[in-house]
Amino acid sequence: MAKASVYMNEPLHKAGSDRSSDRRPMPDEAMETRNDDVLISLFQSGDQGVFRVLVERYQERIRNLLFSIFHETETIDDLAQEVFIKAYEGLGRFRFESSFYTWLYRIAVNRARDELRKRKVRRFFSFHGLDGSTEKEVTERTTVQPVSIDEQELVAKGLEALPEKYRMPVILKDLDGLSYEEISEVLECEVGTVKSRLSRGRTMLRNILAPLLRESGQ
Amino acid sequence: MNGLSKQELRELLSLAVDGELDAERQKALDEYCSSHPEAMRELQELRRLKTLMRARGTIAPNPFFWTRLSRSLEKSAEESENLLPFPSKFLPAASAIAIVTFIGIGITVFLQRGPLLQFISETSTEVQHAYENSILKGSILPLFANIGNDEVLQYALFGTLPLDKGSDAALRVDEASAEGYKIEVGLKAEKLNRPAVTVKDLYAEVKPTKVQAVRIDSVLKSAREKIARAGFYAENNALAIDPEITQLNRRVLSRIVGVLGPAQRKRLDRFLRERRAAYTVDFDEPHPTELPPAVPRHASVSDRPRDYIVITPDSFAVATLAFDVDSLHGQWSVQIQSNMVQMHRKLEEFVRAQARRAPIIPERTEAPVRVVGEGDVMSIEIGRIFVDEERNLPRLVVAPRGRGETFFRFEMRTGTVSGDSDRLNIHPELDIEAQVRTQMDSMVKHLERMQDRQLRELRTRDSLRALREAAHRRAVIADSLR
Repeated sequence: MAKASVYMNEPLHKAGSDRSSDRRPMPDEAMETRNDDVLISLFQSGDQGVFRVLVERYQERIRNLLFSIFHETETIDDLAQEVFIKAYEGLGRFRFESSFYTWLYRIAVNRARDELRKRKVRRFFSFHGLDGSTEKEVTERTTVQPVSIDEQELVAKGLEALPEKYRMPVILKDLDGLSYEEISEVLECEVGTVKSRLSRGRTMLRNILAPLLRESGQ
Repeated sequence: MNGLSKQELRELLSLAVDGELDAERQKALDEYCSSHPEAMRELQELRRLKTLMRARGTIAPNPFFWTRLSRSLEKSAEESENLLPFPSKFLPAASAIAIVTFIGIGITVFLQRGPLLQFISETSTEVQHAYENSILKGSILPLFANIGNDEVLQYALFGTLPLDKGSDAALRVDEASAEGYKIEVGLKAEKLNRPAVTVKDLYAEVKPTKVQAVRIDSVLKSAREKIARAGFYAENNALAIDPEITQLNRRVLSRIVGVLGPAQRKRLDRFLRERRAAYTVDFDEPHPTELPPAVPRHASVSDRPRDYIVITPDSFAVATLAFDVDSLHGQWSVQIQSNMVQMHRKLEEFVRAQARRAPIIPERTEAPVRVVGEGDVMSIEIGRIFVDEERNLPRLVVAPRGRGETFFRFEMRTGTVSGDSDRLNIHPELDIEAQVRTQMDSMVKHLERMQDRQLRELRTRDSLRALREAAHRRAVIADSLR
């Protein structure tokens, strides 16, 4: 790995002996307006300082994606950091076969899956072996009543109760607004599978949140 | 459509929610739903679900994410540097090559020792000077190192200045002609409720010529450099703010007005009005004469001491400081990045501590300075002696529009404060000059102690290393000559 301190010590554009240009470690405007592919090409040709521009461009999206999956603020930055470190390590081999952000999303989703696997125990509804349950069983066990909990909290908890393979498409589509094709790239599966899982995930979520949806529809 | 399985119907409904059905299939689904209330209800609920999902809350942005990430990257780079750059099976061969090379170099060094010793001697002196010149760099950190022209314009229009790009802490200057100047440091920048303004927006409105644009850029750049010199935070938890920063925003706008022609000034005024800027162009005042062709790029303050408000956890003072700010710049990229989180936290702690220290530190009439704390709010008031418009400013051609809300502030007044004697003279027995001396002495002594210690360490380390290397070289050469 190249020495990472270059990000902090070296300005993105050196300007000879003009010390004033060295005073701002922040990426300059010209760099910030360049598209991802240009920045990645610069990175691959040795200008590793551009990685900061890419990080700042996507850090909040990745943090929010992870937040949508885990619904906890404590570990989000750690996970997001791991995602970007992984991206940094792999960026030199990026082959422009997909867009940078779907590639980055793929890293984030894979990291999230690993984390979910590690945790194993479902945090809210405490169901074990939920993935193997039928849709009806899941619905029966997870239907929640809209008591004093905030709507967003309910949606979050409903999402949390979904098996991971249905949860991811729903989050990527409904929360992050990705297209079916992008989701299929991120999840590395066919578009048809995405549609099918999305439909199933939504139906399960609808059943879980039925009281809330009916209440808000009245 | 009637022959659909339940799963197929659900997939169609899901596609319909995403607007992915073509017109024909959409029409067929609509007809089906109109005759099947259960399907219609499901469709409606799925739409409601999507709306709910889209309205989800987001996690608060983390302005220090890059700082944290870059540290991790640096750490992992250092770790990877400790690893061998080749497979371990080549270690014996590599060692042999290294030994042969080292002996070769040793012999060369021995044969060329005269010129080499001279070179090392000269270089060592330079390195020592470089160390000595940079010792203080880690001790004082500038508060506003990471701002660009857009932030300067934002500051000129609204008096708001982020402590760091993306940070939720901001400084604001609020000017009211009757009461003087007020500097507010807000913990929540969103409370400022100001639209984002960029230089591009300004140019789109006033349409400057190429030459005008260069001059405006020059004004903004000059202001940026001044702002960078206007606030410092020391590792001993002390803060220094240049009182002149209170007038810089007005001065920047005035200079921009000075660059523009009459029609452009009207457009600028409209621009200011639409964005609820703190100032309006004052058409009754004559505008200043043309700016000099170029604003100096490096307005070094090293040879001209400046007045700063110096605040420490225990007290505050007004002091004349002669920081060689330029000497800090080379270290900014490292220092600011690596210390921003800590600095931000300490600054917040320190201001809160100050605010709790209500109510007053006294002043003298001829040098009116005071600190007032109230809850999370701290005010500092300073007399005209420290903010002298006539002495420092060109003719101002923008006027304050009015005051805004306050939430957390340093307050500075340019008028006399003797009329407010009840509040100002609570502890008349204390002498502000003594305070200044004590505080600055304390700060300077701290820096000197740090400098001495670091110098001693560096010199010791250098000497030991030089001795070790010399002994090693002698041993190698002796071996090779045997």
